Amino acid sequence: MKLHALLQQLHEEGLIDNAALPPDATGMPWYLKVATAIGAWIATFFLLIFSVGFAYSSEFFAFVFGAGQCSLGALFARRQRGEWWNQLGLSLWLTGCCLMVYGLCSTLPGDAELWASALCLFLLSFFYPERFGKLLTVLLAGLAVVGALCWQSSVPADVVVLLLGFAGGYCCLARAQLWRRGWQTATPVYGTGALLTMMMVLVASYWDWTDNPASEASALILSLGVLWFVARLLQQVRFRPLAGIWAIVAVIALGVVTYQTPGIMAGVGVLLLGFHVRSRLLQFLAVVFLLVFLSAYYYFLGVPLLQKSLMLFAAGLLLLMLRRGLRSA
Amino acid sequence: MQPQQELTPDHVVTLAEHGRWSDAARLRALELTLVPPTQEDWRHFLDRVLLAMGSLGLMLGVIFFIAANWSGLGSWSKFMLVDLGIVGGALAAHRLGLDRDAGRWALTVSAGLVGAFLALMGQVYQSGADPYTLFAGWAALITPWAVAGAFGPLWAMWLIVVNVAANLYVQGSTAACWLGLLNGVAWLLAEALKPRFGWTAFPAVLAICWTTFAAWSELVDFRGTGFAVPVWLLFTAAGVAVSLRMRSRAKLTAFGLGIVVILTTLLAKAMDWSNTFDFLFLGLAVVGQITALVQLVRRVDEAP
Repeated sequence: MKLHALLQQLHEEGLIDNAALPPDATGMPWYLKVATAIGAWIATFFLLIFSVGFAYSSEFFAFVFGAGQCSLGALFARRQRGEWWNQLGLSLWLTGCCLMVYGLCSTLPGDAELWASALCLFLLSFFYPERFGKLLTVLLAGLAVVGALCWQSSVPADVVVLLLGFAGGYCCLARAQLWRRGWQTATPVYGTGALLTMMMVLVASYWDWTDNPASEASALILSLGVLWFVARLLQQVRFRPLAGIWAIVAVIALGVVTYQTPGIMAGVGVLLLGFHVRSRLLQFLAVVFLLVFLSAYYYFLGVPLLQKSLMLFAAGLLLLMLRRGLRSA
Repeated sequence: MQPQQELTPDHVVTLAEHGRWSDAARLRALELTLVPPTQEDWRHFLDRVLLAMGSLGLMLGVIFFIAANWSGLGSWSKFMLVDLGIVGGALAAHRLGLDRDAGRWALTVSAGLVGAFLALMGQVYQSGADPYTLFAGWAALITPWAVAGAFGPLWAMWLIVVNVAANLYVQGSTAACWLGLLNGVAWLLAEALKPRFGWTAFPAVLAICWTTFAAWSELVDFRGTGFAVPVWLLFTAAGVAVSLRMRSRAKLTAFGLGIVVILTTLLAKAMDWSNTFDFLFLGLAVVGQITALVQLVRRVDEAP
C-alpha cells in the first residue's frame, strides 16, 4: 500500500486527524544507511585496535571489557539522543561484540571456536535495541558460520543451507503472524540475515572453500522450496490455471537445468521472497548473488563448458517462454 | 518517505512514532501494510524479472558456447554464430521497438555480443594488437546503439567497457585519476542529456570511487602522481556543488563518504602511531564525520 493511500484511508476511518505526512517521519534512506554501516565498521576497526591494546593479554578481561562496551553502546542507542550518539553506540556495540566473542571463544577447542562465535553473536543481537545494529550483528554471525564451514568443520554445507533456508523462509512467510506477536524484527533482521548467510555459504561452496560443499541435495531442497512457494502463491493470488501450469513447469525445468548449481535456485527463491515481503534489500541481494553465481559458473569444473552454455541458453529461453505464457494466460 | 512509496511495516512504525498515532491507528496501518502483493503487482514484477533474466541467460549461453567450442569450430562457423546473435538481437530490437523494455534488452544483448565478436576476431586472427583496442573498439561500435536505446543497463555496460579500455590504455600511477575524470565527464553528460544517457548515479559513483582511490593512493605513497589530491579536491567541490543544485541526497552521500575516507587518511598520516589512544581518536573522528554527513544530507530537501 502506498503512503498517501494509507494516510487517506486512516483519515477516512477517523483514526488520524489529517492525511498529511507527520513531520520528520521520512526515516533514513538506504544510501544513508549504507554510509552509516560503512562508517560504523571503519570506526569499529579503529576502536577494536585500541581495545585490543588493553585486552590482548587476557581473554577474561577482553570479555568483560567487551561486555562493558556492548552495554554502553546499547544504552546510547536506546536513549536516541541524536545521530552522534547513535553512531557511537553502534560502533561501541560492534567493537564490544568482537571483544566478547574473542574472550569467550578463545577458551574453546579449535573446532568449536567459530561455531561458538556465531552462536554468541546471534544471541547478542537480541540485546541491541535498534534494528540496523541487530542486522549488522546477525551478519557478523553469518560470516562466522561461513568461516566455520571453511576452516573448522566437517558439517555438510547442505545441512546449513537447509536450516538457514527454512529459517529465512519462515521469517518472511510468517511475517504477519510474527508482527502480531510483537516480533517485529524477525523478518527484516533474522530473515534477511539467515537468507544472506545461506547465499554466502553457497558462494563459499561454489569456490570449494568448504570441506563439504553444497551438493545436488541443496539444489533439490531449494527447488522443492521454491516450488512449494510458487504453488502457495498461485493459490493465494489466484492466477489463471494456465498461468499456474506454466509457472510450475518452469520452476521444475529450471530446477533440472540448474541442479548442479544450487545458488541459482537460491537466488530465485530469495528474489521471490524479497518481493513477497516488499524488501528491496533482499531483492537487491538476490540479484547480486545471481550475478555472482552466474560468473562463478564459468569457472566451475564439474560440468563441461559446452553443457553449461546449453543449460544457460535453455534457462534463458525457458524464462522468456514463461514470461510469454504468463502474459497470454 | 515519498507519497507514492510502497510501505512496509517498518515505515508504519516510524510514521506512528512521529505522528503520535493511537494504538488503534497503528494496528490498523500494520494490517493494511502486511497485506502481500496483489496479482497485478506479481504480474508486473515477474514480467520485468523474467525479461531481464531470460535475456541474460541467452547472452551468457551464447558466450559460454563460443568459449567451449572455439578450438573445435572453424573460423567461419564461429563468426556465423556470433553474427547471428548480433543481427538477431538487433532485428528483435527493431521489431519490438525501442520504446519497450523487451526491445531495449534485445539491443543490450546484441551490444554484449559485439564484444564476443571482437574477442573472437582477436583469437582467430592473432593480430597482436594491444588488449585495450578490443575494448575501445567495442565501445566505439556500440555507441550508436547506446544513444538510440537510451537504456540504463546498456549505457552502464558501455561505460564499463570504456573504463576497462581506458584502464588498459593508461596503466601506471595516473590511471585512477584519468578514470575518475573520464567518469566525471560521463556523469556531466548523463545529467545534461538525462534521461537519454541512462542512469546518472552510475558514472557519478564510478568517478567518486576512482578519484578518491587516486587521492588516497597518493596520500599513502603507493603511487605518487603529484596531482591526484588537487584533482580530487576540484572534482569533489564541483560535484558537491552540482549535487546541491540538483538536490540529490544520494550523490551528496557518495561525495561525503569520499571526503570521510580522505580526511581519515590525512588524520592517520598526522599521527605517530606510538600511542594506542591514537586509534581511539581515529575511531571517534570517523563517528563524528559520519554523523556530520548524515545531518548535513538530511537538511537538503530531496528533489521531486
